Amino acid sequence: MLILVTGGAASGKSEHAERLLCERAACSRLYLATMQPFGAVAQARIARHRALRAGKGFDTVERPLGLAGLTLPHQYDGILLEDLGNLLANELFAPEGAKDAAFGSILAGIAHLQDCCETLVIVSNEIFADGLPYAPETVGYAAQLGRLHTVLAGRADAVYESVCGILLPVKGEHTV
Amino acid sequence: MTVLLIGGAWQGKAALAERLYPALPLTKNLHQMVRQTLAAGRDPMELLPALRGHAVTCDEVGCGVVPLDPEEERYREAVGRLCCALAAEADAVVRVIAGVPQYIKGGTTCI
Repeated sequence: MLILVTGGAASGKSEHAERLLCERAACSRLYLATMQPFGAVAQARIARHRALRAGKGFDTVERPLGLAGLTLPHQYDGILLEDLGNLLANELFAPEGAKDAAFGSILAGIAHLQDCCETLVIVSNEIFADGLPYAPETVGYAAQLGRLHTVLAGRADAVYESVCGILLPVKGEHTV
Repeated sequence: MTVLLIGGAWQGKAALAERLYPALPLTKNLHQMVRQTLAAGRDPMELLPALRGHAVTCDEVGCGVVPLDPEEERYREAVGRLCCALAAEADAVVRVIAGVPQYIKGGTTCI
């Protein structure tokens, strides 16, 4: 099963994604973190997410890119991938990223993760609504993230948007 | 009764609040109050108690590209966290698109 949870900044999407995963993955749970711990804001966010997960029985793997080559110790009931926006930024802009091949690399990585678990929950970011002018690389980044959303939502069993901590069903299951 | 009306800018949130909840005092533009509170060096969560019993409008500012400026990112985060906290205790949360209400919590219609 594939579930996509999207939402704006600080909209409560992580909490909902964790809950959705824990409801479906009874025993073995993996948290796959893509954020690179650069800067105080990133470190504060990582600390906050660690506190949210504490005591919920997650293994944690930090992997900023190259998910298709990830080797896991065993099959998992559920994997929580957090988040797609960081993964794409890393693939596009990090020195060791896939660069022009980022889009296909990410889809291959997600297909690989689906082979490694029963339920994959992907957290991503709604970044498409401010209408501000950005540099071409930022516009390209947003465009690729939007395309990833549409492709993944097409494959997903359920898609949700978190708004002010309220989970809105966009596609699929209405069991919120 | 506490109501949060969120949505993009210029969607008719305040007019809708006055039409749907005429008995409630109206607090407009919570996102601007958050910015002022941060500028004054205080925690925006301090705003929460005074919002109880009001109809509160707030722009949904978190749905854009993450700002490079850490202060701008902190502002967006603070608006989002305050809205999550206010929504959790609100009787109704209304998302306004083109002046049309979607009752995403409480209210009269649930999507």
